Parts: sequence; structure tokens; C-alpha cells
Amino acid sequence: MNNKVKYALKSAFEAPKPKKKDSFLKDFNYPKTTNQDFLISQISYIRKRVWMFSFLLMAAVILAATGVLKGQGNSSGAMLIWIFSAILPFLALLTVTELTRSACCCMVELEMSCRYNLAKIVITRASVLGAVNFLLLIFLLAVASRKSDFGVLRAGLYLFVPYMLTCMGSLLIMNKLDGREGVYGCGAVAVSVSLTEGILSMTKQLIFSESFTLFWTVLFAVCVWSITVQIRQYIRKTEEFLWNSLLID
Amino acid sequence: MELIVDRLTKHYGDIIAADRISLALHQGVYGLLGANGAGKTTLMRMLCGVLRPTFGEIHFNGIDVNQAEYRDKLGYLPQEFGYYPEFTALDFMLYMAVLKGLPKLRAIEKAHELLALVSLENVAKKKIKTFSGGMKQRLGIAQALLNDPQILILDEPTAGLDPKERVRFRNMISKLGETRIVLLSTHIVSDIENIASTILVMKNGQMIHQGSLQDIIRVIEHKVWVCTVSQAKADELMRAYSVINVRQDEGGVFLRMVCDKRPCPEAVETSASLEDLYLYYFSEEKTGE
Repeated sequence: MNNKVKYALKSAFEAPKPKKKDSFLKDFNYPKTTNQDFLISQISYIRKRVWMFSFLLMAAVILAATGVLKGQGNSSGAMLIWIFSAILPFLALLTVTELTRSACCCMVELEMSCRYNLAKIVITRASVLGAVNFLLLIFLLAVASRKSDFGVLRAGLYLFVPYMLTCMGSLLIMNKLDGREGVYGCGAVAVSVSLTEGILSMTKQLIFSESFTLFWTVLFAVCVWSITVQIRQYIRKTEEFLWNSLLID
Repeated sequence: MELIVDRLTKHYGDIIAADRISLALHQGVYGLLGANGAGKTTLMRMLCGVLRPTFGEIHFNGIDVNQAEYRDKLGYLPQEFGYYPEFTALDFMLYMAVLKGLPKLRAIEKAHELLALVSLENVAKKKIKTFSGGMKQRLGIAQALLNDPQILILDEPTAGLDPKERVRFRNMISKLGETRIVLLSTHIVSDIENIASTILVMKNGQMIHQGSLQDIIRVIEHKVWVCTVSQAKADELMRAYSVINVRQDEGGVFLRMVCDKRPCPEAVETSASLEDLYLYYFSEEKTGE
């Protein structure tokens, strides 16, 4: 139809008012978000401090890789590993505590009753943060192993084990304690692991010798197994409200 | 539209919080009455899939309570809820909309519409931590409506609201009940009296009564008495019967009580109210009843 005729018709006749518009809109089956949309949305709800810490860590690694952060003598590569392995527990702490936000902010009940419930939120956020941390650790490993004489396996163990020990300990605590108490517990775990790592690297160099590789490998395997068990338990915990005496109302 | 609750039971060790509750809810407003510890919140949590029953089933139009499809049709206002400290009212609504599976544009539109409905549009960009208790409660009600739920479960929705807001919400809930199942619990008996088409009374985890207001108060019909007596006589009556109201009057002490037979010669029978029934069931046991 010619546009002029369209406009002429429009101006000549008043359009009838819509009938049953409200009921139509009410019954209209609006499309729902997909799992992919949900995943993207959850990234934006992860606190900025987590991204900032990851970014700072990444920046530090880049500086180390480009030779700006140089240690003294032949031990510069090892020193890098000790420094990063003492920092990584705090990355693990930030990641784990991000998953406890619902409990700390009393959002658990609301989130459990939604289409994308608390279990899905935790799985999604844990997957996103786990993937980012893994990439960061791989990048760190690539730099650290190139700068030290440890080789990829040993450098990987020295970097991954403190991170995983913190995850393991924190998850263990989160499965026992709720809310802020749990967060404080996780903080204590991260500080303990970091301090132990720092002290050992300065006083007990023997533990980082090649003869202890098996010990580190076993520790790594125990962490992987325990984290898997603890995560499963934590997800189960998010599927049901835990009872306490206040619930009987 | 049918929500079926079949022999729903919840045990916590030796404690039975809900005991073989069976219900068939259709569209309308259901008021859940019961004293603290009666099992109201436990029942509501099970209906929302937040608590797993020890035994029994919940289905809505054949959809099991554990399915995402069930939660898709559910709106829930818990008795107490929190928020992330950095959230504004609008952020909170958008966050809840994401969890309820609303696409972004629809979420924005719906969030504004509901914030206007609960008169929070002017403060949509203010942090929730600056809100009063009543404002937070209104926000909670707004989030429960985001997905246009067919089942609306409201645990103490009018708590913290001023009388004017309470009446407004009562009317709103009543309207919502025309097209969906609304289950609300409250200690404010007048709220239930005014809007619930069916009243459910819980005691010790059991559903002891269900029916319309007229059906429910039939239990205490011809059992409500009023009288004005001396202080000594009033003390004696208070010890013996379920006294619902005590007031110091010019001629003595005015008493309103529930008992099977005339408690004293001065007593006059009066019409029963839901509050009489509530207090009759949930006040301390009296030997003379």
C-alpha cells in the first residue's frame, strides 16, 4: 500500500481501542531466559573485588614475566613461586566466600524458591570463578616454570597445592558453619596456609626438593578428591534449608 | 488450577513440625492461622520447595514441587529475608527477575511496574539498607509478583506495615486471589478475617480446621460470653476459663470469654469472631473448659 494512502487512512479514521489487551498480555507466554543468559547474568553479580584481585594477580604475573619483578641471584624463579603460592590462598578465599554470600546476606530462602535456585547459582558462580582461577593458575605456572629450575610438574604442585588446600579447608568449614562464622573460618584457613607456605619456603627448603615430589603429588590428589566430595556436599546443602529450632513456626 | 498437598510430614528428630497434612487448594485466598510453633512456616517452606518433607507429596497441576517448572509458577515472601548490601530496590528486583528467568527487557518493565504498585518507584535507585521495615516488606511483596505467579505464598506479609498500608495490601492480596492460589499466614487475625475465603487453622503441626469463616467459628458459636463483674470474681473467672478480653470499666471488670456453659449469672452470650476462636485454641489450657 502506498505510504500516502496509509497516512490518509490513519488520519481519516481513529484506531479502535485495544480490547482485552491486559488479559492478552497476562496470558502471553513470555520467553524465558536460557541457561547461557543466566550464566552471563551471574558474571555481573560476582563482586568487583574478586575480579580486581584476579586482575592484580595477573598484572603481577605479567610484570614477573617481563622481568620487572626480579629476585636476587639464582633463586629469583623460586622466589616468584613462593610469593605467588603465598598469595594464591587469598584468591581461593575470595572465590569460596563469594559462594557464601547468599547465606551471609540472608538471601538463601528467596534464592531457593526461584526457577534458578540457590544450587544453580552456586554451581554457576563456582564454575565461572573456578574457570577464571584455573586460567590464572595456568598462566602463572607457564611464567613460573620458565623462570625456575623446578620444571612444570613441581612448579605446578607448589602453586596449586596451597590454593587447593585453602579451597578444601574452606569448603570443609562452609559445610559445617553458616554465614559470617563460616567466612571467618575460611579467612583463618587462608591465613594459615599462606603463613605456613611462607615459613616453609624460608626455613624448610628441603620440603621443596625433588625427593619430596611424591609427597606433594599425594597432597594434590587428596585435595582434588576432598574438594570434589566437599563441593558435592555443599551443593546438597544448598538444595534444602537447614533446620534449626527457629524453623518450627 | 489445583495445588495438592498429600500427607505432608516433617520430622526433626523427635519433633514433628508438620503431621500428615493433606490439602487441595484452588484459586482464592487461604489464611493460615496458628500460634508460634504451630508449623505454619514449616508448611509454607515445604510448599515452596525450600524444605524437603520427611514424607508426603506436593503437586501443582501435576507438577512436582522439586521441578523448576513448579518454582516458575511460584511467588514467595519469606517471613524474614535479606538483600545484598550494595543493592538498590531496582537492583534487587532485577536480580530476582534474573533468578525467576525473566528476559532483561521484560524484567526492567516488570520491576518498574511492581515498584510503582508498592509505591517504591520514587526510591527505586536508593539502597535498600536505607529503607524502613515497611518499605522492605513492600519490596518483598513486589519481588514475589515478578513472575506473575499462580501460587503466591506470603509468610506474614503485613508485618511491619502501618494500618493504611496494611489495608491497601489486604485489598491487593484479595484481588490477586481472584486469579491464583494465595496462601498467607499472619498473626493479625483481622487480616485473615477480611480477605481469606478459606481459613486453615494449625496446631502442633496438624491442620485442625479448614473452611470458610462461618464454618470455622461455628466451633465456638454459643460459647462466647461477656460480663462485667467485680475484681475478685474476675480473678476467679480468669483462672477457670479462656478469657479473650479484659477491660477495666466503670462498673467493674469487663470480661469476654469462651466456655461451653454460662460462666456466671451476669454473663451474656455474644456472637463469636475469628479472634475468639484463635485465642480459644491458642491460649493456655483452662481446667474449667
